[in-house]
This record gives sequence, structure tokens and C-alpha cells, in this order.
Amino acid sequence: MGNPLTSEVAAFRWLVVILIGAASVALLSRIFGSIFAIWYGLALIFILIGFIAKGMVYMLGSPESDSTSEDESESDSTSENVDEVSERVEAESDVDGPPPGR
Amino acid sequence: MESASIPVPHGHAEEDHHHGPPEAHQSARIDRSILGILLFILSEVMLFAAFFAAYFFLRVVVNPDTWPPEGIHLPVLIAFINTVVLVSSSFTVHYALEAIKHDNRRGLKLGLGLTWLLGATFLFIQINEYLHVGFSARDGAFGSIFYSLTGLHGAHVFVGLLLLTFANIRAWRGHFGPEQKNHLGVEVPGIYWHFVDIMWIIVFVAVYVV
Repeated sequence: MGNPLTSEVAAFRWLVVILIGAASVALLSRIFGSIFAIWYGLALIFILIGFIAKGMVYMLGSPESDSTSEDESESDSTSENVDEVSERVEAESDVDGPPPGR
Repeated sequence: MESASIPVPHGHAEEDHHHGPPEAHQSARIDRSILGILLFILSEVMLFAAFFAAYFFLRVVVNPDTWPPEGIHLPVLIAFINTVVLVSSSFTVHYALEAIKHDNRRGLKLGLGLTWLLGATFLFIQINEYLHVGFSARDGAFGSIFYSLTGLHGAHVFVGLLLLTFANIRAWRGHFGPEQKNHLGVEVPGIYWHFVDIMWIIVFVAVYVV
């Protein structure tokens, strides 16, 4: 399913999942009683919170995680910007010649 | 024409010099508008969690045997119809966003308009339910927590309707476009609306069904 907090589409998919989860809670309350259904529903909510927490950690990013191999395949605007700055600096250095004092 | 920039030694660009630093928000992997609404929603989740904690404490710990109290009958069928109305509105706002992604302006207007109407219908039915439910917020812990929880959600629906009103006005004025940066004004209220829907599903199941 992926991270529910990246876009409207992801949130909509999770809405459908929660709808199905709610239906299962309602069904279990009829079969096993209210208290069982409440605990079951809380367990489902904690699973959802786990997904959200994981998604938030990835989404917010950090300088450390940006440099790890795990994230290398992901698009990363920070490293893209650093690369862009490096390229510009190198290009300008080529034009201007060596820096003073070297 | 020579560049006015300060030269930097080769191979030490990142370490020695900040030439055109990246924007401050770029550490996040998503657009700042989306990030803003998501952080806002997380704070709202905590608010709802506090109300749910109070509800389940009253229900499971304080009154485990008599919930709801005798003589109180909740209109489950009407609440179910209201749930269908609100869930349908999530589908319509999703349709609106998909429409503008494909440059379908008519679909955008139709989706946003239907979403607004369904949201207003939900609010109307809920107010009507309050008028006919037969107990008030003063009638014990059940009345207090019932009106608190459903009222809190109703307030969020109202805010969502305000956001959708602005989105509708902008859509009719020709705003928004297929590119992501051009339809954030639909996507952000859409995310908020899904959150409101998800909260109602949980409220409905907890209060009316279980």
C-alpha cells in the first residue's frame, strides 16, 4: 500500500482500506461482542499509525538518510540541488581559471 | 562577460563554499504545501485521539455494562446514510483531482461541486439528528461525549466545506492545471477531506455500531 501521507491518491487508497477495516470491526462486534471489536479496532489503528510514522520518517528526510545507500534510488531534491551547485561551480571555475592563491 | 562569482577550488565545492544554496525546505521529499497539510492533519489526529480516549474510557472503564444508557436510542440508520453520503464525497473529490490531472475542467467543476453538496448534506443531516435525537449534551457522560465527538467532527466538516468553497470558486474562475504544482489547491483540500471522512468512519463505528 505504501505511505498514506504522500498525496491525495495515497490518502484515498487508505480511505478505502479503512472502510474495509471498519466493516470488519462492525462484523466482529456482531459475532464476538463490543469489547472484542474495540480492541480489534484499536489494533488496526495502531497498524495504521505504524505505516504513517514510517512514511513520515521517510518523507521528512534528513542529511544522514540522504547519503545512505538505501535512499540512493529515491529522488532526492537536496542531493539534486547539491549536484547542481557543484556543476555550476565547476563550470564557472573552468571559465574563470584557477582560484586566486592556488 | 566575466562571471562575478567567487571561484572555488575543484573538488571541494560542497565543503568550502555555498554557491546558491538549496532552499531550506528541500530536505523534505514532498512539496511544502502537502507537508504543511499533513503535519496539520497529524496534530488533528492527536486532538481526535484525546476525544476517543475520553469516549473509550467512559465506555469501557466507567460504564462497561450500560452503554448507551437505558432509554437512549441512537439513529443508526440515519447515521449510516450520512456515512454513505460522506464517503461518496471522498470519491467525488478524488474524481475532481483525477479530472484536472487529465485537463478535464468540466470534471473538476462537477467533482468539486458534488463534493461540496454532499458535505453540506452531511452537515444538514447531522444538525437535524441533533434536533431529534432526544437527549442533550447535559444528559450525563454519554450525552457529553456524544456531542463532543460528533460535534468536533462536524466542525471539521465545516472547515472542509470552507476549503472546498475556495476550491470551487477557483475552479470556476479557470484556475488549476494538469501539472502537480498547478492543482495543489485541489489536492490539499482533498487530503483534508479524506482525513475528515476517515475520522467519521471511526466515529460512526465507535459510537453507532460497536
